[in-house]
Amino acid sequence: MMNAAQFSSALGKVNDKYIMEAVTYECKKKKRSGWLKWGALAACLCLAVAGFAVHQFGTVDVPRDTVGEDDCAHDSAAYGFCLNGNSTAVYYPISFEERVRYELVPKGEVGLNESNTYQITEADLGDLMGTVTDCKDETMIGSQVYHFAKYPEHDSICIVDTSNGYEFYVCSWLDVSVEIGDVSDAVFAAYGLPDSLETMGLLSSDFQYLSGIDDEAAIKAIFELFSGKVNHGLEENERLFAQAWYDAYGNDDICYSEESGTCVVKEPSLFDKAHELWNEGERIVQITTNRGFDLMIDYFPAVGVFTCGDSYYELSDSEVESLNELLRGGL
Amino acid sequence: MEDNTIIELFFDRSEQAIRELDDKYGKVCHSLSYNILHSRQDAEECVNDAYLGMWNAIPPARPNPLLAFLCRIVRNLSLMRYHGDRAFKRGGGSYTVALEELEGCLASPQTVEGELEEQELVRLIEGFLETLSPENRVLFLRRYWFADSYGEIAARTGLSEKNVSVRLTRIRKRLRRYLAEGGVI
Repeated sequence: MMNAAQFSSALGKVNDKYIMEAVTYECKKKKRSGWLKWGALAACLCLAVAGFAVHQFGTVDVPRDTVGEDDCAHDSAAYGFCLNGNSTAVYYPISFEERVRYELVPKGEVGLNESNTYQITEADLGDLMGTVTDCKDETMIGSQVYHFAKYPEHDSICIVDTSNGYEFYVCSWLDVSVEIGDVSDAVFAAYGLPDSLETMGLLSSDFQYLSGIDDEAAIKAIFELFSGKVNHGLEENERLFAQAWYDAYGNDDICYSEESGTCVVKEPSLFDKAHELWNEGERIVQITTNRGFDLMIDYFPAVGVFTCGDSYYELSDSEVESLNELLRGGL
Repeated sequence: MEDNTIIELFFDRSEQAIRELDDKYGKVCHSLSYNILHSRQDAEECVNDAYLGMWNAIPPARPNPLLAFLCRIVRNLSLMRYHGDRAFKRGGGSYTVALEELEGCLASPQTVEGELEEQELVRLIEGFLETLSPENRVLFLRRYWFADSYGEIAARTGLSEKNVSVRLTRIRKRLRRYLAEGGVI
């Protein structure tokens, strides 16, 4: 049986590119200001979602085909771009998981290789969506962007006529900034919700699909519960998590630090215990629109908060109870 | 100084190469070695040994990227010393904790038939890394390659320590699933 030392030894032999990526990664704390820096910033901060991953505490995953888009690590980075000057939707090179989602690789494949890479032809080009207007890679600017004929209604996937040929790009989520003190409705409005609703689903905390939520009354009630909530910001959110710890255990082994603006822990080993407390019953509500965009709402019933992008919202006890009931109905 | 220039100094057998290497990458090397050994003195010795290794390897080697090559030597030497000195039960360092996390992730009641070739495992791990987002990949490498603490990773990535911890927990779960699907555990 493999042990950790063997694994660690093998890990030590992985390709240089992973080491360089890790060693040169020096990204600043996530900030929304100056979006025009996104070419470097968004790639570094991984602000895009691969169809599923607005993480708790406002961070997101962006699985991609290559390590190349990490501007912090590589000169030959692939950058995101904006279409027709619309900064809300930032398109990134498609990831493997997104290829799976859009059925661009045969079922059962676990990674991208030459033989299973979808070859785009002119027949795949749908209507013209527009042109690339903003991209750190200046050679991309002015490139024509087309709908993918297989998904003509979706704005979430497109084909770009680049200098290297046709390439898939995706924008799985919208970059909607909600200032502290503003309400969550801005997020729904940006997605055209609830009118644009295609599906609503329930995921576990590790993004495993649990069930769809189909009942119209339930969907309406869920939207109502998520609407009109005030973004209280990360720091207040951290305070709530620290308070939840104190309420449960009556000590400050995990507490809010004014200095760092986050929860700090006396012993790293307490993290597991804290996660059990905070993440109990955590659910992700995945809302997919008719344009193919996903809005992920990460809900923490144990703390009574939900997060969405980089905004954080609190629910009352009765709202938590109602939401739990509605989400249980989806199971 | 550019890496190529440092390599040229090695080729010229100039001791300035070591000084430049230390100026440019010494901090990274010391941090890596210290994370594993949890001893300033041992880390110092390991890094010096690594510089000597570089001196012996270049020429003929022209490593590119230079930093990855250097880090690999530092890590290997530090791990050799770590495992060699376990009789002292050094412990306490980030690497020890990171190993324990991995132990939990890799533990399995099943016994896999035969010895897995290390190269095959490397290939599997690389396959797994490709499934991760760049940021998650950095988190994983920083924790299990560089043995960084949560705090160090948090400072590097701009995430909170808690978020780093949550993410790593999830990544380990994914790793476990990936290795199980690969028939390794």
